[in-house]
This record gives sequence, C-alpha cells and structure tokens, in this order.
Amino acid sequence: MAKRYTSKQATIHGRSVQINNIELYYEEYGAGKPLVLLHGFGGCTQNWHPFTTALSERYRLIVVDLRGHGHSTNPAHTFTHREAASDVFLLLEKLGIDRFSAMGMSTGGMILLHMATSQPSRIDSMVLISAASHFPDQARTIMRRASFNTMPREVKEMYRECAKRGDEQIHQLIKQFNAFAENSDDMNFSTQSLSTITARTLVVHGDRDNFFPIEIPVSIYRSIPKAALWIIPGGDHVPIYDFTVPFTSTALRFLDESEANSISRA
Amino acid sequence: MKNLFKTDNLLKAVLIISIVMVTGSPSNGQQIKPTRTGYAAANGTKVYYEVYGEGRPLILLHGAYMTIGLNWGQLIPELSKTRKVIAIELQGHGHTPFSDRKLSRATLASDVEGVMDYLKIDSADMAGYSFGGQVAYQFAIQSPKRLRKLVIISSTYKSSGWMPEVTSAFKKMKPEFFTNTPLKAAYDAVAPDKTKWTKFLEQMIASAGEPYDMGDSNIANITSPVLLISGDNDGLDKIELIKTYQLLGGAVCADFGAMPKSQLAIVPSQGHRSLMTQTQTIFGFLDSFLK
Repeated sequence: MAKRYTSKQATIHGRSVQINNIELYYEEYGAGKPLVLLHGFGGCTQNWHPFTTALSERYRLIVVDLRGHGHSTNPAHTFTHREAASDVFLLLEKLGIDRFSAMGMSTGGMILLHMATSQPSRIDSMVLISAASHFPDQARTIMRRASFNTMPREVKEMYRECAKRGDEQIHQLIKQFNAFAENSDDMNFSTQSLSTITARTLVVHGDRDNFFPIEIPVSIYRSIPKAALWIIPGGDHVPIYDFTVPFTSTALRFLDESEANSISRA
Repeated sequence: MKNLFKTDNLLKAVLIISIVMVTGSPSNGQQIKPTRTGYAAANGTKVYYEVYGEGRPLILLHGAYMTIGLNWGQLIPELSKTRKVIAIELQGHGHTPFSDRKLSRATLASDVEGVMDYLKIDSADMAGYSFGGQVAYQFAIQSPKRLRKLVIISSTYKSSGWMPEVTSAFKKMKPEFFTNTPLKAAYDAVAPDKTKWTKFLEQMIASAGEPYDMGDSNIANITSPVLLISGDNDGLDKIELIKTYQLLGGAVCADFGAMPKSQLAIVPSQGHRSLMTQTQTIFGFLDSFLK
C-alpha cells in the first residue's frame, strides 16, 4: 500500500530468477542469518534502502520486488497475497534457504501471514508493519476508489520511481489494487489460523492508520502466541520513516532476542 | 523461597509485586534538587509537592504505594528542562501524612486541585501512572477547565480495563507482601510518621479491592487531548484500551474526517513495571505530545 518515502539510491546488487512464468527480481546485502524484506503494494526494493545498511551488518538480506512490481514481471497481471507468498517461497527454494526471519510492510506483512500460516516452521521471527488479517470496509472503500490521479503526491512519486516499465505497469498495479476491494478470500485470516503461527512476531502499527484501524493489529497480536505489540503514537500507514521512530533499533532488538528470551503474553 | 511460600502463593506474590512496584532505583539517575517543596492545605489534610524547572506547568501523579522519587526520579531531570514540573504525593504516600479520611479518587483529584490553587496555577498538563492515572482521569472529569493535556500511563478508568488476573491479584494483596521491598524503603526515607505504614497499606489495599468505573460517557466527554501509554504486557486489557482510545476520539479513519487529537502508544515487550524504566521512550512520547 501507500508509502511516504522511497530512496532514490540506485543499486548494483540485484538479479532476477525465473519463477514459473515470472521473472522475479531481488537484491542481496550482507551475510549471516537470512532476513527477507517485502515491500508494500505499489512499492519495490527501494522502500527498504533507508534500512539496508544497518540491517545488513547483522543479517543476509534478501530484498524482493514482488510480482509485477519494480523489475519483477507478472504476465498474468493478477496479484493475491497468497500467490505472492508462493513466489517468495519458490525464490527461497532456489536460494537454498530453509529457515529465515522476515519483515514486511503492509502488503509485504500480509504475504508473511500467508507464509507463516502455511509453513510455520520456516520462519523464526518476523516484523509485520501496518499489516491486516482482513480488509475492513474503510480499506475497501479506498481500494475501490483508488486511481493514479487521485493518489497523494508522495504515493504517486513512489509508484513512478518503482515502476521500471512505466505507465502501463502503473496501470496494471492500480487495477490489481482496485480488485482487492472485491476479494474476500485472499485476506481472511481467523484467530484460529493466526494461532498456528510459531514465529516470534513484532506487530508494528500507527495509532491513526487510515487503511487498517487499530483493532486489527491488536487482534493479530492477541492471536499469534509469541507476539509483541508496538503502537506508534501519531503514526499513520507504515509509520517507520519518521526520524523520531526508532524502527531499525527496535526491529533489530526484537529479531536478535534469543529463543530462550522469547516473549509471550502472561 | 520454598519455605516461605507454596508455589501458587509465590506466583501470586510475584505478580502482585510486579504490579505494584516500580523500579527506578533513584541512585542511578542524575538527581536534581527541586526549586521549591512544601505542603498545601486541601480538604482537611495537607498534601506534599515538589516543583522543578520553569515553563508551562506539568503535574505528575505517582502510582500506588510509591513516592515522587521512586516513580519519577529518572524522568524529572528531562521533563524539567523545558517545563515547570509539579510532582505531588497523594494521601498517605511519601511525605504526605496518613489520614483517616476515606480514600476516594474524587477527593484525591480535589487535593490535586488544592495544590494548584495554592501554587496559583490556573491550568496544567497532567501525567499519571497506574493509580495516579486513575486520579488524573477523575481530575479530567471533575475539573476539566483546569486541565490542558492529559497523559495516562498504564492505567484505566474502570476495573474491567485490567485483565482479570490483575483484578483478582488486587483483591489478594496483603500488607506483608510489602515487607523488604523498595516501596517500604522509599516510604521510610521520607514519611513524616513511619509507624503509619501498615494502616496506610490497609487503606490502599481496601480501596484497590473495590470495583470502580468512572463511566464511558464521562471519558467520552473529556475535551483535553489524551495520550495513552501502555506496555504490551502491562496487565491492561488491550481490547478495552482500544475502546478507551475510541471514546477519546481516536481510531477513526482520518481520510474521511479530522485527525484525532488523542494518541495511543504501546511499547513492545514491556510490563506494567518495566515500562517505567524506558525513560527515553516515555520522555520522547511526553515531550512530543505536550508541545
């Protein structure tokens, strides 16, 4: 979904692999335990660039362009979070990665919910930023109405910067975003299914998120057995770029905690 | 320990102590001296206060069984750099003498107003932790004109805002749980009459066992902006906390209306007690909200 900021930094770290009929682009940085980073809808790997330097000092980063985003292709022009989760699993298979940690912004976090419920043992710990278990009416209204011309300026800039193939790519992405409004199957996680997640999970959310109201992250936090909750006062959707929000240090502290010290609710 | 407690009693005691005790060893903060201290007469008793710094007034209300130093020792040096901090000790706590006067949130909130009258402060920001947060809610309800912005830290305006384990732990508290705790040491260091310790505990414990509810409609009528701060494992029922935030005008879809003026902060991996050790985090929230 919408993001406020993208880096203009160019990269030389990327390469593409064939996943079914899709060319999936990803970048790698650093060494160590794998940490998969998934951007939000309309975005690309660049959304993570403000954080990659600090994160790559401790982890081997796998930063992905989701299907149809950035350099990645999507000949079928369909996007569900379930399909995108399968793409990421196939990429990790090619890279020989079994267990990993992960972070996802919005759509990226919702893809992680699919991954963490379908193959729980693969994910040790994860950070979900402004994600949802289902789409509430207010989000569907925004999804249904969305058009490139009416998007906020900074969201338009992000789409332009990330859509490497230009206007046609943007057009396809907006159509897929509009289609979310009518889809009730893709994002429809029950408390029961979230309770099967074994990953230690940090749920991060702004107190005034315009897509997903605060009761959604609270319910995700309550449903996932080993979860911690971080609500950012004054924060809106994906509130991690503000310099007053200690995102990297808080996320690293959470990811680094050993299993022995893992947090669970009393 | 086995000799002292049966296992379930031990667990209960640990839970209770973690609910009522806040850390903050006063020794590891840079201690600063108040610019003014004293007692204000209020409602037939006298109430102790300390004043630090200069600027817009901010009143601090401590948690149950605590003192100014134990609760706010780490934060006052930061907060008083740009504002006038007025820290108060509630009935029977710290320097404020024990009183047979029935302990009620309404009377305590009125005591706070008495200190404001005495110090000639028309209106102020207010931050309350735990029990102090309950008194601060009551103050917002009964003296709205004298309140600018309100900060509620790990607290709720009704019993059902706590998780059931916490409510039942409140009921099982006993004076002997407090022997050899930092709470007792802090009390002994400043109390005008140390022999009142047990009577003071009994009065507080009796009050903590009584269900309370200040009313959803009263909370919805609070006009001051409110910042709610909680730890994700602090014993507050998070569903109730979100409802409180909604009553205060938060959790709306800002695309279709005005941005809420109230805020909600939840700090990951923190309990009721450990939350107050996150000095820089708490200070950051207060400093940006109270601007």
